[in-house]
Amino acid sequence: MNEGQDDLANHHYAEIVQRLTRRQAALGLRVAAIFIVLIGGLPLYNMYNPHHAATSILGFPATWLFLGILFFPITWLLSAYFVRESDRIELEAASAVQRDHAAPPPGAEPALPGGPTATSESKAGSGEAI
Amino acid sequence: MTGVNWIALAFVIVTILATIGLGIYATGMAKSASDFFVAGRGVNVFWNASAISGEYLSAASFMGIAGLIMKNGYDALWYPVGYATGYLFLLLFIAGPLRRFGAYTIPDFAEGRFNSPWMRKIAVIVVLLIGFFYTMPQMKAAGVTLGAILAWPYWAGIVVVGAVITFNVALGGMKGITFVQGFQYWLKVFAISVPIFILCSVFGGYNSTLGAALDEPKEVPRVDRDTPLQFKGKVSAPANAVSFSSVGPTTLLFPKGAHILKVSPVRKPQPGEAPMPAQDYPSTGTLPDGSNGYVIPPGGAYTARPWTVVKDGKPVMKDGWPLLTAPKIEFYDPTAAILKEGALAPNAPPNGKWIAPFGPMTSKYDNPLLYTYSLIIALVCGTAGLPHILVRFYTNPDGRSAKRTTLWVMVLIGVFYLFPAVWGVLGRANLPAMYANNSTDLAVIKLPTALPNKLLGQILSGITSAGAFAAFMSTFSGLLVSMSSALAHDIYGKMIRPHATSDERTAAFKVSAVLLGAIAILLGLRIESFDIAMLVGWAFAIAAASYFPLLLLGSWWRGLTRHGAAAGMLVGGLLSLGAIACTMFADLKWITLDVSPFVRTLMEQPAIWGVPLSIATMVIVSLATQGALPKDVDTKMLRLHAPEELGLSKNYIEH
Repeated sequence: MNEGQDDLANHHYAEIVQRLTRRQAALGLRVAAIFIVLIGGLPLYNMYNPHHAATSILGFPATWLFLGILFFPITWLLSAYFVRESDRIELEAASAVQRDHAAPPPGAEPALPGGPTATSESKAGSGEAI
Repeated sequence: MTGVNWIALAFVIVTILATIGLGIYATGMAKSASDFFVAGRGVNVFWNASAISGEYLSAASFMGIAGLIMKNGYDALWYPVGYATGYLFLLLFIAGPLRRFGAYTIPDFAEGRFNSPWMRKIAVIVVLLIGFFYTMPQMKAAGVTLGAILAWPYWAGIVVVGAVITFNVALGGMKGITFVQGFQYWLKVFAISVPIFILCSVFGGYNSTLGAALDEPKEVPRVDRDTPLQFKGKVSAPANAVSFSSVGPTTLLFPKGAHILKVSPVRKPQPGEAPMPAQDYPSTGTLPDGSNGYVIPPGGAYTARPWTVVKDGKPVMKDGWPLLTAPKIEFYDPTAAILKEGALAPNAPPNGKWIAPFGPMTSKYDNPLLYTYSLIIALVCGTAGLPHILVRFYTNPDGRSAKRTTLWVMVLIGVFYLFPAVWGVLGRANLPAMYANNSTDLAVIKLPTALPNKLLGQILSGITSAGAFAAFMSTFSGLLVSMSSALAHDIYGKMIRPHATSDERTAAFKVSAVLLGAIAILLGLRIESFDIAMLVGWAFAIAAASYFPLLLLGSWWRGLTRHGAAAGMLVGGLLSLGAIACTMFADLKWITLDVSPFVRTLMEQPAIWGVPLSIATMVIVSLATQGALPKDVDTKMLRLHAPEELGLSKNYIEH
């Protein structure tokens, strides 16, 4: 089985997975950057705009309202965006593999017994479910 | 502290019995060793998210945050925010790859990623380190909660609760717990939310209570009736200290007299400043151990008066006002006292400092911004490195459901974390006596008893006590499972007896659970004076500087070698642990730390240097040892990131 996996690593769709990995990383970093700006910016805002931060909104100091209540739903939105985009990237990669598998490029190594063939069916199923 | 709250006791007993009952019921389903470790790997997304949330919402979340917000105000809001939003990093960078790699535990990941059995040993050490740090606050919560409900001594609560949970874990394993954890999440949400709505309808709302504090920045909460207080003795230092308010004079009556170890100004005098006025000292006398101190006769009183700090004959000004300070006294032995109606609550910061950022918690060592950022880094990165949470990601069927589960966890715990702050705010306004007793960690248990309707108060207090029990039972169980798994599965099953049968492994798990439970109880007995949420924060700081870099770089950087990973984990984890241990020993007055405020801040909140140091060590050592890359590193990277459809995923352990 180990040897089979080493073959997989050499197989041309390793390249597809590497591309997928880079796209996932870029997506993760993008969402993380928004989050870091929000959570890292707030202490600076509090430090340099103490009067704005203390403005009363419905009785709450503005910065308390933001940190104690509003910050949670903001992170839910960021997470939901990430999960949706990340699933999309993965499904695209999966269908790219499926396409290549249907028409192997010249020189490609033969498909492994039981590997991609068996899984292309399960992918079709999960693709519909999503 | 008067008598036993029978209603609360009934609620607690029902919670314990329900937990054990569910555990026993579920044991019928836990058959093979694989069931014990990761619950058969087929738990659906919503139930698994409930279980992760149930396990995650510990005593720190249920009691500690409310207490810390009551004590320190705005700054403590970073705790719930960090605890909840740390899952974002877990989601973005770790949840999917970790599940796709398909290992049972973090030590499995550490070994599998580098083909290196000794990485497993290092990872196990870190599991135990973080685990013990995290169990200490759970133990404290058990001790103080039972103390409040039953008037039991601190140690008794710890021993009873610790023994019950240890027994339950040894009996049921994790399948029982997945089931019980999910149930406990819903119990905890109910227990933190429903009582506070009722309390708000009596005491006033979240926003109006905050608004009142915002309008009176110089005011300190006052007790609204004659309030009996019970101070601790010097064995509980630093919890034996009372800092009086600098807003006005405060009188304490001592019906049975008092022995006072030390009287000093709250604000440490700077060179050149006049000392504390002589008339503010109580009369000197001999303490029971023969040393010199201060003695107040039975029925006597002590009045603490603020005074203006004077330097070189001129008042010291701060923000345009003369700077005031007040006395702080430290008791020799447990002492009963009465705070008269209308008295300012000792130990309570004034409204303006409490409600605004950079208050007493982060400004303690004059570097509030540094303290805040370091705390944020610890909480956000630490969440992504907690062993008892990470192990649950293997119960997802695939990487995609692991991400969905994380999203649901963020929603479930985010909803929960809206409430502790309300408790803290209402606790400050309505039960300020808790400041004087250094017992703000009991805000959620005690606040309902301040209701005019005593029966309703006891019922609500019973509900929150049940929630608190659910909290420390579930987290302690989860920790005990991951620590026992580390010993039984990683040490016994992989190193000592690789060919052990399923029965032998299960027996090893049970023995490990009992052993570790006993150690956790002993540790818990030592830490009564620390804030629950602070202790958990430290466990996060250690996780952030050890596991988080391992998982982050291990999942995303092909070039990470076992030497780099091991060096980074050990350097980051152990140095953070050392800094935190020094802080704790200094707080307990076992050692004195003579360092600058800047260094002191970095020691109390080490994540800001610990995390980068760990990552940098990993990168540098890895670059120097590229020859040690596993031969199949490309396959491993593929397996971490390839969607299941590509057929690369293969569980590290087959069953």
